[in-house]
Amino acid sequence: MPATCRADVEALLRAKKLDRTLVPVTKGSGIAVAIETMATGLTELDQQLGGGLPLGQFSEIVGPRSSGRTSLLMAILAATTARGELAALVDTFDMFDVESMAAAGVHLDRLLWVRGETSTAAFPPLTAGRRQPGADRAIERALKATNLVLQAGGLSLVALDLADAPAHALRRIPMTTWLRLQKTLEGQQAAAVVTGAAPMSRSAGGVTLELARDSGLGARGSTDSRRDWGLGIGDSGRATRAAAPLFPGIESEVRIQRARLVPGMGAPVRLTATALVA
Amino acid sequence: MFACLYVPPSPVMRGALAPAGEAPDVSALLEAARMVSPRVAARSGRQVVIDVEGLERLVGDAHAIGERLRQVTAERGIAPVHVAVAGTCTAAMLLAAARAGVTVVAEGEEAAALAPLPLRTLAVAVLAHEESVVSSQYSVASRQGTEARSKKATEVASSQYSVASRRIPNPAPERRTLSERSVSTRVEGRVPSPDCLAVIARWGLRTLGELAALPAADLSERLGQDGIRWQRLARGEDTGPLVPAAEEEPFEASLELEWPIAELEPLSFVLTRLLEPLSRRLEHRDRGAAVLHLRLRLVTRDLHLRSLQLPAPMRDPKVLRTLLLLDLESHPAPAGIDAVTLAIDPTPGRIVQESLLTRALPAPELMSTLVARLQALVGEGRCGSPATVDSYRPGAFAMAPFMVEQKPEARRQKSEDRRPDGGRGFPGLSEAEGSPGGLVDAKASTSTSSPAPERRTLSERSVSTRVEGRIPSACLRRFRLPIPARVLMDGNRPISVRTDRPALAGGRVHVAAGPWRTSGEWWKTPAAPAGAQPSAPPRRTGWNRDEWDVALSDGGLYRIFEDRETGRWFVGAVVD
Repeated sequence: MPATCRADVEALLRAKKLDRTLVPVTKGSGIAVAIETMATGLTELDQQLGGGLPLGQFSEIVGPRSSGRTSLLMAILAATTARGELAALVDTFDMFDVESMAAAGVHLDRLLWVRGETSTAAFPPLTAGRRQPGADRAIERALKATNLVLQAGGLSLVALDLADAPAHALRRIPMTTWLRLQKTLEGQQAAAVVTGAAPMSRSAGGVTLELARDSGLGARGSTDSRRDWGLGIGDSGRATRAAAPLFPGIESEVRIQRARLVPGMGAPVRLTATALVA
Repeated sequence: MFACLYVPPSPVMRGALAPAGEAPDVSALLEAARMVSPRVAARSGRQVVIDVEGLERLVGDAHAIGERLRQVTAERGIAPVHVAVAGTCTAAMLLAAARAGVTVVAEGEEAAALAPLPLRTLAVAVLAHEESVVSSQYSVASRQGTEARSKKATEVASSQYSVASRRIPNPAPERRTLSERSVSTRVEGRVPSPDCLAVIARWGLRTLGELAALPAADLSERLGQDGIRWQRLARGEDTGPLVPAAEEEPFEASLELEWPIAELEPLSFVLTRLLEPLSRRLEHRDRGAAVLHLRLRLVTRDLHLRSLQLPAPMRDPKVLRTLLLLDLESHPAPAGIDAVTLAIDPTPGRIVQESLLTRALPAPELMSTLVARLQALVGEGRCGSPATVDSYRPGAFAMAPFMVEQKPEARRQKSEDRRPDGGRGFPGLSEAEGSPGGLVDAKASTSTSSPAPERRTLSERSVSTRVEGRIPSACLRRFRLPIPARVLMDGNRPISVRTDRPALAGGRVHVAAGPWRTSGEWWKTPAAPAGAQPSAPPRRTGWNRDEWDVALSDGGLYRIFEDRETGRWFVGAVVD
C-alpha cells in the first residue's frame, strides 16, 4: 500500500511538473531516477558527484576569497567548451581575466562573456557608506542577463559569478528570483553554476561544492621567497615569473556540502591550481 | 532559339584576332537585352546571349526579334551592335562575331551558315568564352562582395558557383555516331586550348566548314579532346545550357507615415510591415540578410541611420525586427520618425548539415537575438567572446563577436568525451575514426573508457578521494580599475598591505613572491585629444611596474604592484 501511495504522489507531482525538484533519491530505496549530468572534467569530483553537475539544476561553488572558486569554475568551463559545447559566463563585476581563462584551457570562441559593472561597484571606497547602490544594480543586471541566457537556451553551461558580491546585497535578492531562474532552467540540457562566498541559490536537485584553501598553502612559496628574492629579468628585458621564485599556486579541498540527488558523499577532493606563469 | 548581341572592337582593333580591348559596359548590354527577354547571360564584355524561345507571339518571327534587339540597343546608345539569331547559342555567338547588322539563321541550318566563316571567328568566340569564365567568376565574387560583405559568404557562394559550373549537362547531340558521342562526353566542361587551334590553322584549314567536315575519330587521335571540342564549336553545337545571369534586385522598402511616431512599440508594427514582404522575397531568391540598413527620416528633416551587421544570413522577419528594435533601444532616434526605409544587403542562404552524433548548436538567429538583448542590457562592447591580444600588458584582452560555429575537432572531442549513460545525444552511437561510416557500437567502446561511477562502492570512492585533481592554473580576478593600497616595506619586501575599501581591508603579509618587473609601450605616444592644450602633459599609455603575489592575513592571495613612475601601490588582482 505505501508503494501505491508513493506512486500516486509521484504521479501528481509529475502532473504539476514538480517531479524534478521534489522526488528525492534515497540510498537503498531502489528508486531509480535518471539523473543527467555534465562532467566537470575533474575525474575525482565527477566520481563523487555521480557523473558531474546535474543538468537542469542550479549548482553552487562557494568558498572564501582565494579558495579556488574561480579556478574550479574555469576548469568546468574548459571541459564544457572542449566538448564543442557553448557556455555563458555572466561576470557580475567584470573581474575575470582572459589570460587566466586561456591558460585554464577554456575555448574562448565558445564562451559568451557578459561583463557587468566594473569592480568598483563591489569594492566601493569607505566614503561611499554602507549602502552600495552600484552593487545592487550590478547584481540586478547580472540576474537579468542570466535570465535572458537561460530563456534563450542552447547553451550547455551558464555560470553566474557572484563571488565578490557583498553579502547584504545578496540577501536582498528575493527568493522568488532564484525560483524563477530555476523554473527557466528546468528541463533544459544545461547546467547552471553560481559562484559565491556562501550558499544562496542552489536548487533542490543541484549540488553545492564548498571550497576551502589548504592551511599549508604558501609554505613552499614562503620558504623559497625568503631564501631568494632575486629579480628575474628575461631576454626581452622584462621580468619573467619563470626566472623569479615561483608562486606555487593554490591548493584547495572541495567538499560536496549539499547534494540531494547524489547517492553518497565522500571525503574532500584535493585540487591543486598552479600559479599562472606569464 | 538564341540571339546574341556583340559589340565589335574599335575600327583600329577590328580584324585583329584578339578581341580584347576596351570593352563596353556589359551591364548596359544586359539591360538592353532584358528589355526583350529575362533569360540573358553575359559571355564576355562584348557578348550577351539571349534565350528568345517563345517570343514569337510577343515580338514576332526571328527577324522581328533581331530587329527589336537592334532597336533597344540603339535606343541606349550602344552602337554599332551585331545581332544574330540562331538555333544554338554557339552559332549565334559565332555569327554575331562575324557579321554586322542583323543575321538570322533558321534552326537546323547553323552548320551551313557557319561553314563559310573564317577560322579566326572561332578564336574570337573561344577567347570570349574564356574571358566569360573569368568575368562570370569575377561578377559572382563581386556580387557576393556587395551582397554579403563577409568572407564566409563569399566562400559559400564561390563553392556554389563551382558546383553549378560542374553540373552543366550536355544537350543531346543529334545524328552523331556512338564513337563520336563517347568521345564528346569526355570533353564536357573543358575550354579547348588556343594552341590546338593554331595547329589546325597550320594544317591549312581556313573555314569552319572545313574543320567541321573532318572525321571526329581522326581529329581526336591527333589533337585529343581539344580537337573534338573545336570541331563541335565549328559545327555550332552548344557545350552547355544557357545559365541566365541573375538580375540585381534591390531589397528595399520604405513607408511614409501619416503621423510621426516616437515610441518603439508602434515602430515595431511598421518594421513588421516592411520586413515581411522583404523576407518573402529573400526566401524566394534563397537569400538571407547580411546587413540591415535602417534609414529613419525625422520630423526635424534629419536622417537617423543605423546599420546592423548580422553574424549569419537570416531572414526571419520576427528575428530581424527584434534585432532592429533592440538596436534602436540602444541608439534611439532623437526626434519623431516621419518615414522609414529599410534596405537589406542579401547573401546566399545558409545551408546547415546537422549531425546525428552531436548535439545541435543553437541557431545563429537565436544567438544574435540573445547577444542583442544582452548588449541592450549591459552596454555595447560588454558582451561577446573574450579574445587574447598580442601584448604583455597585464590584463589586456579584446572582445570578439560571439559566433556559433561547430568545428570538426570539437565534434570529435565531444564524441570521445560523451558518457554513454549521460543521456546526451544518441547513447548507442559514437563517432570513431577509421571505421566504415564512422560509427561503432558504443558498447564496445565503453570497455576502454572510465568505469561508470555509479557502479563503484562507497569504499572505492573514499579511496580515490585523496588523489590530487590538478587544475591547469590558478585564475586571477582582476580589478579593471586597480585599487589604491598602502604598502609597508621591510627592506625590499612588503610586510603589510592596506586599502580604504571595507571589502578589501588587507592585512599583514604572510607570504610574498616577487618582484616581477614588467613594462611596455613606453615608446608609444598617445594622440592628443581634440581641443587639448599643447601645454597639457601627455597621457600615459605604457606601464612600468613591479608586481608581487602576496598572501595576506585576511586569507586572500593578491597580486599587488608598484607603479614605478609614481611610486604608488595598487591591488591589481585576486588569485582565486
